[in-house]
Amino acid sequence: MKELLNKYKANKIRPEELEELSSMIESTPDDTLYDILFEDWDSFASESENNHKVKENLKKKIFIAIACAAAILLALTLYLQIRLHESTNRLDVLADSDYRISTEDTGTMDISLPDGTTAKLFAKSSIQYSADYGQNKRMIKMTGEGNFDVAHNSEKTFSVSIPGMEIYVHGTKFNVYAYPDDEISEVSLYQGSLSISCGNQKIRLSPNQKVIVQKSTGKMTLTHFDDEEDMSLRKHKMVFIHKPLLQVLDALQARFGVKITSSGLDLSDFYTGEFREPELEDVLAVLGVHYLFDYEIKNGEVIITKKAGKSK
Amino acid sequence: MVDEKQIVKLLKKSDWEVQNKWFRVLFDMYYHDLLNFTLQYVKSRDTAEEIAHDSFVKLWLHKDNLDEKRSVKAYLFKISKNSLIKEMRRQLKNPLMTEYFSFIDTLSTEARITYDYDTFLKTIKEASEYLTPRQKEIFILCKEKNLSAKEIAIKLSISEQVVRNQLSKSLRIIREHLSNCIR
Repeated sequence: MKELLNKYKANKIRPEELEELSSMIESTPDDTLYDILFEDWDSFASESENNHKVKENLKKKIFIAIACAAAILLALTLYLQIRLHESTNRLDVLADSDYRISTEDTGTMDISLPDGTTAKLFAKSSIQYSADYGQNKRMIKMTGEGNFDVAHNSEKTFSVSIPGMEIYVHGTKFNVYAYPDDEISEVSLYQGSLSISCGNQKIRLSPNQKVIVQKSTGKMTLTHFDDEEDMSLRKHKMVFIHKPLLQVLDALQARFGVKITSSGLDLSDFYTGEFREPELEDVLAVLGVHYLFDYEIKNGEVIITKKAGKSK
Repeated sequence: MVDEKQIVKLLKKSDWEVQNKWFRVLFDMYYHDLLNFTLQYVKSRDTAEEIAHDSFVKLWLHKDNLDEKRSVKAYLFKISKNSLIKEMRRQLKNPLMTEYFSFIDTLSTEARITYDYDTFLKTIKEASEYLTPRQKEIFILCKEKNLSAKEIAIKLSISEQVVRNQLSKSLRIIREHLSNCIR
């Protein structure tokens, strides 16, 4: 086993050997592993020999430093300088990396950004921002749907970039809908002011306005929205006011991360209804009564079939 | 050599600043060894760093109970062994390990040292964007959730052969991406 383990440590193990080692380790009790590893650790010495000598010198230096106040001051300055150097280095390294927050196929997530901006992310969404967020600018990238409440800061504009579009805001509340597999993207504004640039077009939104972008053509439509309907997103409710059934099912797919297939239904039929804290099954049951269908949920897929022999 | 016993004594009864200084000396003495030692077994730098950090945090918390007759090195092992073995067992069961080793085998000796499992996983994640959704689903079920072809076939209600075909296709795509990455 030791031979295999050495190969494993050195990253020079062949697949069949790895399998062998894996099953060996699995049947080895922890105590035996402790002994093997301890032996290895006991004899483990990388560059440490040199290190110890350096430390020895350091120790002497420290004692001299204690005797000499001026030297202490010097050492302290040096130390601070090194630390400062270290920490700026670390910042630089950090600044290069990105943070990414993603939600699963179902459910929502509440997040806060370093500047106090909060957002609710819906299913299958993600936002990305760099570690220096808030230092010079406040910029995030996102896909999916998010509901933002931006902390006010007139000097640092908050911007959201989604494929093909940039959104610039000051302190405001707004919602972004930008799923990659949907034909349209939507930005709705609840409070404050917001401007969008999409290619060479620029649009400024006032509260209760939303813009819908047709992705294939780039056509932008500005509409006024009903408070009740869109604000509902933030209250967890699902509200449908005179919506074709097709859109209702689409909304369910996005909300619950399921795939819905239906047969025999008139998808252009309009539906009006409201669900408070909806569960997928509850909504389907209610719709099933309305439209006389049966449904089956299997592996994240919903199959809807019209009940035979009856018509609405 | 620095007299470790003296350090341990100083750690136990002195004011905070002195403790801090000598703890720092111990840290410099052992941290890199512990990190590199752990890394050999867990392969992931993040995990190794976590284990090494935790061990030193515990060492600091238990400094009053240290026995100066015993070596700090042995004590550090005692603190870290449980998480080390747990992580090592986990990695050995990880189906992506085979891929990791066969990939790392194609690297130069130099690259091998820096290319740890985390980096590998990140590259795999990027590569999986090139798969179709179905291929990706199967790949994740197999390599991350550790399901067999048979289990996946039942779960997705498709035939086992389809699973195997898709899997080998996915692997080919991912390997191609991996080999592009090192160039």
